[in-house]
Amino acid sequence: MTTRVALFSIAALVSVYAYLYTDWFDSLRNASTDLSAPLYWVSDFPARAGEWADNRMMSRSRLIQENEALRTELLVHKRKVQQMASLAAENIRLRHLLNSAELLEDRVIIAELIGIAPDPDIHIVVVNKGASDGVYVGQAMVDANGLMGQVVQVGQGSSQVLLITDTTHALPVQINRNGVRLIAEGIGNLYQLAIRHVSNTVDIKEGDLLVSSGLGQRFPVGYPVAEVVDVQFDSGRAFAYVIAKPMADMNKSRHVLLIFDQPPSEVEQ
Amino acid sequence: MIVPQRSRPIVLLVSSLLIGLFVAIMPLPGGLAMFRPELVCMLVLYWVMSSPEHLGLGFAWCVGLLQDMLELGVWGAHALALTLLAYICLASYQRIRSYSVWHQSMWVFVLVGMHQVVISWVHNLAGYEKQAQELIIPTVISALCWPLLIFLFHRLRLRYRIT
Repeated sequence: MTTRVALFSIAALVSVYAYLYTDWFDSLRNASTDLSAPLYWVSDFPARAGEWADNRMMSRSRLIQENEALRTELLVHKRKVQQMASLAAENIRLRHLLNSAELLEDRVIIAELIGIAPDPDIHIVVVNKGASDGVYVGQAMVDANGLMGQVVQVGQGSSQVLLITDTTHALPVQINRNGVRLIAEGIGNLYQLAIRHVSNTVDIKEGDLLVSSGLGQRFPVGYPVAEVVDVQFDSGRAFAYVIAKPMADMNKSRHVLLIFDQPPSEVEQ
Repeated sequence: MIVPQRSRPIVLLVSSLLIGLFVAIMPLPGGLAMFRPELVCMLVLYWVMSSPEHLGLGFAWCVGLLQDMLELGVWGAHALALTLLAYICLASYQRIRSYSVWHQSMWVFVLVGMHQVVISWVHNLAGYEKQAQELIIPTVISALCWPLLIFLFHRLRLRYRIT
């Protein structure tokens, strides 16, 4: 029995090693997404039942009221888009003058969260769109307010998304105000990102908006990521202490968008 | 009086593990996630101790790997922890089985604690840092739930005549 326990333990350790440091499991991992999806779908049932009941039991007057509020909101957004069209055209003309590439408009699909990793330290969520909807590994996910994460595993009808607040995640950002490039790192807290290696002379202050810079070639350029909430310059230390709060509602958003910023065929290569 | 057919424990085994895995991934609101009992771990302890001649290391390893896959964690973490636990159970099930339920639950406290330590070690390799209370609270809850689990299984076995 001692030999067998040694063998099984070594098998488990090899699997840990392979999972963390090699890509041997890649195809298996995608298949396991399909394995876990039904269980997550079932565990999500109470939330969906609540939503369904909410929709059914809403009174007529409240529905009309909500409809009116949404119409007003739509009107406001439409007005913004009107201006946006001319601005976008102007932007393209200016880019032509500078001989730089045009920015293409991103295509999106709407996905719904069906599960979250049970371990409070692991910030991975399961969404209900997969390879059959064209989802690919590395795709960016946003909610209504900002960037949320990137797809790490794709099953047939569902995929797993690593949130930007996970301790194993970091992404290149820049300050919207002056374009300073920085790295925003997850620290395992849904409400905080740490900005690493900010030298004490950098122009950064509370309230600055950090947007994705696209330098990692993973995330599309210009999506809001976080807002700086705490800056402490300490000349005794090599770098400043900077904490930012993610713009996206990390633990509230149920409906999210997956962005196609490049055709899947290019990612494959 | 109609006496129900003797059923085989395999049905109970599979359904209890399914429920265990379901409890392991059930979404809980933020602060409560820490209080989730390690039901899969307790079930493996129970089944290995109740039929050590059929279920052993391979069983624990497979259940562990399945749990890793479902929990979206590092593959092999639960497999390693449950294999070690099953080994301890196999070596000392005769002694543990003769203890009273509360005495057993102290053993469960120690064993689940080891399970938590192994898992947190593997997760540390992946870059996740666990707080001490994240290790100790589920362990205490699991130990407190053990008598309940034993009672439930006892009733189920009587009711459905599972030997």
